Amino acid sequence: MHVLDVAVIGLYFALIAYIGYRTGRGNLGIEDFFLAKRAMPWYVIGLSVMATQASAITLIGTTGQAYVDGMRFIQLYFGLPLAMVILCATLVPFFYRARVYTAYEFLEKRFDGKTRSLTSFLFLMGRGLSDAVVIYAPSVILAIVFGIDEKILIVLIGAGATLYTALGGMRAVMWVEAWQMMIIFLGILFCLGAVIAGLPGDISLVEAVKIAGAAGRTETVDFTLDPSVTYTFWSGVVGGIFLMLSYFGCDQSQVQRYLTGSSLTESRLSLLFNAMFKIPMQFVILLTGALLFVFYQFEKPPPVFNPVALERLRVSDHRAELASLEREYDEVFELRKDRASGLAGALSTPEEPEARRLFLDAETRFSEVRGRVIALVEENDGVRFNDTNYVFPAFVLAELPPGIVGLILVAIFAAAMSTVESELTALSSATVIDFYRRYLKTDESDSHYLAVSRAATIAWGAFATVCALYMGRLGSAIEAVNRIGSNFYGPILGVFVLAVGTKRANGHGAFLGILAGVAAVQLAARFSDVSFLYYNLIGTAAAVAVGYGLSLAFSTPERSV
Amino acid sequence: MGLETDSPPPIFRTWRRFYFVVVVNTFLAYALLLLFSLFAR
Repeated sequence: MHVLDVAVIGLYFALIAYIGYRTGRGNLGIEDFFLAKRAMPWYVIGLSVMATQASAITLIGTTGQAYVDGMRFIQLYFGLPLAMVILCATLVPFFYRARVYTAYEFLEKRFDGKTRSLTSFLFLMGRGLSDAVVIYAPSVILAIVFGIDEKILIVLIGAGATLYTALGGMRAVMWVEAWQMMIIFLGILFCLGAVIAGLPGDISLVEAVKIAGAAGRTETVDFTLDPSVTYTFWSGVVGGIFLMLSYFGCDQSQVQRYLTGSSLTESRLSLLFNAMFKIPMQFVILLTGALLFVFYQFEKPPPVFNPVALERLRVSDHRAELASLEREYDEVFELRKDRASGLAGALSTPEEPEARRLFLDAETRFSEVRGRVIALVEENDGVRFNDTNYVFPAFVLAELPPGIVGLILVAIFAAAMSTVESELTALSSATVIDFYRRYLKTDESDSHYLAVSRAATIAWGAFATVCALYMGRLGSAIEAVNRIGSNFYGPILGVFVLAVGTKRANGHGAFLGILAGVAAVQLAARFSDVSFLYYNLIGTAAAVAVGYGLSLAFSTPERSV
Repeated sequence: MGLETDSPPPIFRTWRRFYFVVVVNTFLAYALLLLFSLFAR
């Protein structure tokens, strides 16, 4: 790695350490440690909410997704602004006025202790392990592409985030996240600029977009009604609303952020800020990926973007087959390059349809040869191979100048660390507030709870980092738990709907409603091919229907918030 | 911040108006994305 890149990375770590130290000084109690004394302005909360959601894989994977499959992924976010409006009008005022530390604490005020404990436990189970994935996934990719030891990256991200989260608490975390989000914005804009600057001089931006469009990389709205198609307008709006309501309304890592608002106005503004900027931000990230596809029409990409897998293939028994495929690959690349130039020249002329047909034919042949190289990698490694997440880092390393590479790496680090530290504050607050203070030590001093909160943060950080270090061996088990964890989101949202939307729902009904919702999601996942984006809708509907029905049957006295 | 507790930015006067603007903005975003798709196709 170039010395300039190392200097940029060093500067980043020094900057966040300084911001963490300056803003996190003098945590006096747990309200300060977990909720930044409920004194944060909306723009810091808004940036922190966005940083929490934008993990490193969002940044790396989304560009790769647009390169491979096009921009249709943006539809996942179609429900987000509408969900933000619904939350601002419904749940946020309830949370804010109840003066709670965790989203689940609110459920005890409304229902009972067991409903709170169950939802908090489900959160801890899902998030505890997903934190390891958030650390591991970018580390392994960056390690392969940049030739850095994977373990160093895992420790750098995991231990770095844990350290200043435990020392500085929520205020330090949120100010650091606000800066990290701005670094991510800057990194995204640099990437887009770099890809556009890398296009051949005779290809304008409009022509580049048209070439990407001709290959189906710019489809952003798909009105297909089939519920088994993952990314459509309908799954994005309908399924997306429930997905985002579950995530932003019931997940402690997000709720904790807007509970820090100095007023209800600040909390609401932070979510509406997210509502306005999320889709444009995702558009820029995806456009970068689509234009990367055009860039690689004129600059020969490697047959696969994972250099380690390719190198393994070069020294394997399949090397002769690979050499032959690479010759074919070079030929079809040159053919596609000529035809892409031909299409750019023929745009808006009578020759355009024919130029488009020829280009698509070359693109199909190119994809077919690349598919055969991928099949060879799979045969050699004996596992399924997907290099989507390697496209963007490989481009950064191969095409960008020193210093800018460091900046992009810093943006990826920032994206990973901002998600990790949010999870850590959420995990420790749920552990201490919903379990330790609720069941074990109910009447200790504030300084006692502060010390325990710091210890819980370090313990969760260490757990996630160690799990990430052993992820290679534990991978499939952790993934399975993660997948099961995500099935709880919809049912938990259903309980919150019962809490604020009905007067007659009670604790027994809500508790059993969660279980019914989880069962409904499991049934949908096993026995239907409906897109996962609808799972939260199914879970919520089942939890509300069963929870409300059973509440009427149990019919205990009402409790007020 | 210059904002009263639980009051929207003065330009919107009520939260309901603010929400309406966000919803309209969202539908505008869908429309622009659709136009982008059609233009680039």
